[in-house]
Amino acid sequence: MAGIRLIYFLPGAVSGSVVVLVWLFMLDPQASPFSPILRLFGWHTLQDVIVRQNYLYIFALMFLWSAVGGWIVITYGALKNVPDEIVGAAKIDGCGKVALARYITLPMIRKTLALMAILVIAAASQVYTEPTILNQITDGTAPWGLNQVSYHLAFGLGYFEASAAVAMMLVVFALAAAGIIVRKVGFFKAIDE
Amino acid sequence: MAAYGVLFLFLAFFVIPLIWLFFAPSHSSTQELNSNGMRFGSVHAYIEGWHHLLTFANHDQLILVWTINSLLYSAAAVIFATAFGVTAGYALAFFRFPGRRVILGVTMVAMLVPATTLVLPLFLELSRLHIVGSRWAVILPSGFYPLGVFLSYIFFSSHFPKQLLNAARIDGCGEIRLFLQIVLPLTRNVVPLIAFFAFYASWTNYFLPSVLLNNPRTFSLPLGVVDIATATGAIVPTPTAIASVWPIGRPELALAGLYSVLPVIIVFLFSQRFLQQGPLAGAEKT
Repeated sequence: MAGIRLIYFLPGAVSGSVVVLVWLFMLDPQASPFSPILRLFGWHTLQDVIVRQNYLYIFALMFLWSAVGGWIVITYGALKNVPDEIVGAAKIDGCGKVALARYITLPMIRKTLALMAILVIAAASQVYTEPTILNQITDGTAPWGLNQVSYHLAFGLGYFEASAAVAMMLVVFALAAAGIIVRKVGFFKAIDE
Repeated sequence: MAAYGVLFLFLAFFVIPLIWLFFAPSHSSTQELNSNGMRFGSVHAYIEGWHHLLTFANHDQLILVWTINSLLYSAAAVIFATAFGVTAGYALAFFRFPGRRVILGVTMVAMLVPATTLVLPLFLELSRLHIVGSRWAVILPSGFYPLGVFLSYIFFSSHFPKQLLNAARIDGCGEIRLFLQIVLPLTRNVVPLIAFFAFYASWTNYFLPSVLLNNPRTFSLPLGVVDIATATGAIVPTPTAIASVWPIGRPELALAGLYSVLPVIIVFLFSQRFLQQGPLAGAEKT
């Protein structure tokens, strides 16, 4: 089973430029192993796939491929900390699988889930690699992510103040989401509060 | 059974591009790769491709230098990040002190701020210490790993029996001895997790080192792979590419990608041994 977790986890470990290479091929209906699926949508060339309407889904797929594996491993670590005795006792009492998850397992790992929610919201709003990759593939016609804008302002144009301002927008958004989640989960409560 | 179907689809989504990556270096040229997709070429192409990679940049096997750098950076990161993460999480979970919530909040904010914003202040700090451009610029900040602090904090605050600590204190155990002899042995479930993620974050970190390092001999592997990609224009043509100088095309780049992922695989599988269930079982009578 560790092998399967490894497979989920590996895509996140692949170097940036190699990820470009991989997706260049995965999205091309003429070269991709997924071409039957791509053709099902009526796409026959790379240019068919990378069109305006599809950008959202392409970003989502790229991000999913790289990011989910790490969280699977962390959640697995959190689940390992749920004591066997409690799960066993619940099952003896006749607890079904869904109820077990809903009333016992998930509440016990809710701090990990909260952390995951906060960080995924932040990471997704701060996508940088995916739009950069897509821009490389499409010769600069893909839309830009805000983080990408911030980076370009700082390191492309040397305009650090503007870059910081854009970055602050992203931080405020992430903080708002984090604030809501932290409050709902009681994330910062100390042991005996 | 639907669960297995969903799991299988997920697995296919993750593994198929990896299989492609694994097969890509088996083709001996970019043209062959472009037209051959998932078919396997030859084993010999892997060896040839590796020799081609070694010729970058002046036949000086720069890729091996990068590997050693990466090992150095990651070792430092693992040691620092785990040490600080475990101790910080322990303190934040069990001790009440003024500013505790502020520290937790600030740590979380640090995780949410885009790296772009953090780079400039970090750069200014390090340049005041005159270490920008040297390996220390990457090694010193590597102890800063807020996710490690949080994983540790969550572990101590959700899955650790505080009663154990009180029992030990009642028996006269001092704080340091308490931490070293009672708490640490029971962190077997979280220390490998933090260590592994610290390793992974350091090994794959591109952005910060790319800003702080400029001598190719100090590069880590991710920086090196991008260096090869831009110098050869193998993936997409870049303005400064000189394609004809090195025999490096897409298959070689895929090989470089595979090569840099290899240590992650090894460390991942190795650290699975340490994730055991129930080191806390029977620690207290509930």
